[in-house]
Amino acid sequence: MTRLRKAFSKAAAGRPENRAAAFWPRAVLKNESGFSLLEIVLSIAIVALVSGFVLEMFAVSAGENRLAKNTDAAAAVAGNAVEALKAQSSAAGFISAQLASGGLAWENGGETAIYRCYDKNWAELPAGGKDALPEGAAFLHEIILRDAGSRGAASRTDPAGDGPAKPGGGGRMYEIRSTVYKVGERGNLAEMVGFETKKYFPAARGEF
Amino acid sequence: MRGRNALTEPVTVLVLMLMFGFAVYSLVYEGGEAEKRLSAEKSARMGARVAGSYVKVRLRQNDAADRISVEPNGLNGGDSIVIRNRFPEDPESGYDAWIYWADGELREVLAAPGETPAWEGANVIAKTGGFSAVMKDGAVSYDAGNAGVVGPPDTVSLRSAAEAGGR
Repeated sequence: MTRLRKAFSKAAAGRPENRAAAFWPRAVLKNESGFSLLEIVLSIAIVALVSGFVLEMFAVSAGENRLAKNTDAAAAVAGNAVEALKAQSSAAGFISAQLASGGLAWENGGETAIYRCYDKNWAELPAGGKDALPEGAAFLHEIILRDAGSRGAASRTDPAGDGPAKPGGGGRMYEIRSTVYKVGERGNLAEMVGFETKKYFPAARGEF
Repeated sequence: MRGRNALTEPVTVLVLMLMFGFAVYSLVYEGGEAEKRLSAEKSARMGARVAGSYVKVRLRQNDAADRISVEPNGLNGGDSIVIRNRFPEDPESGYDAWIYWADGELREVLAAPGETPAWEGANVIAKTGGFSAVMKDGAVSYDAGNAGVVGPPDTVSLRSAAEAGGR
């Protein structure tokens, strides 16, 4: 131990080559051949391979961030439609409000479908249906409003309509499904977020 | 001629090593920068989610007639959600809760009814990039975090407003 310390202090005090000699094996210092072209090319290939994985990791992470951002926005869009229905006094009022704010509606039996389209930055585009998406559409919001029938026996405090019968209700139950789809490159749709709920609209006076 | 050939390999190796060093440096530097950007974006999104969720819960908890309003705050003039809590047995007593944004944070401060809050006594809800709120037709639309940059704002339709409007 003492010998080793002496050797180090002697080397540190001496000439630069002695200092190096104290830390590196003699065989290494005597090897003057350096790196060959093959060694360099191989090491570059290894680094390129490793960096490929690292860059892919960043790309995946950025993609996940983008997906999270779009899912947040989709949840807000889908949730806002449900909120809008809950705040309305009638299903017709909800549909009119949606149409007035740029939605496109189709009616089929007791079901009404309302569509809205958004570009990749969530700017609203001219409305189009599932089969007629406008150019640049990245997201499609579909609202399906279904008349679930008369709930004459239900009271307003019994929105599910499955409580004890009470005379004179006369309102209607509606089911809403608010879904946001991601539009694929070929126009295929993948569901991102979907909310479902029910809303009981009591009959207005004189509407029986 | 022979001397020139003998130099070719060391020079090529040197050039390749320089390129190699530059590539490694660029990779490490850009990787670090990308990681920083991704982390910052994730934190901002997390703050926005926490803030949005908090505001939604507060609005739902206090959804009663004339309790909720959106007003400019006296600190920086930004939008604030003001929740008026009054005790039923004594309507003059109670407190006002102000939810507002300042210095990169969404905050909440309590004040005596109708009085200006002591802003320095606020609780921090979350770090966010901004906050805006609008109350229209009985619905509060608010954007906690990205100030409308991405996507539509969240909306809470107040049941109390719907009931007051005969809905």
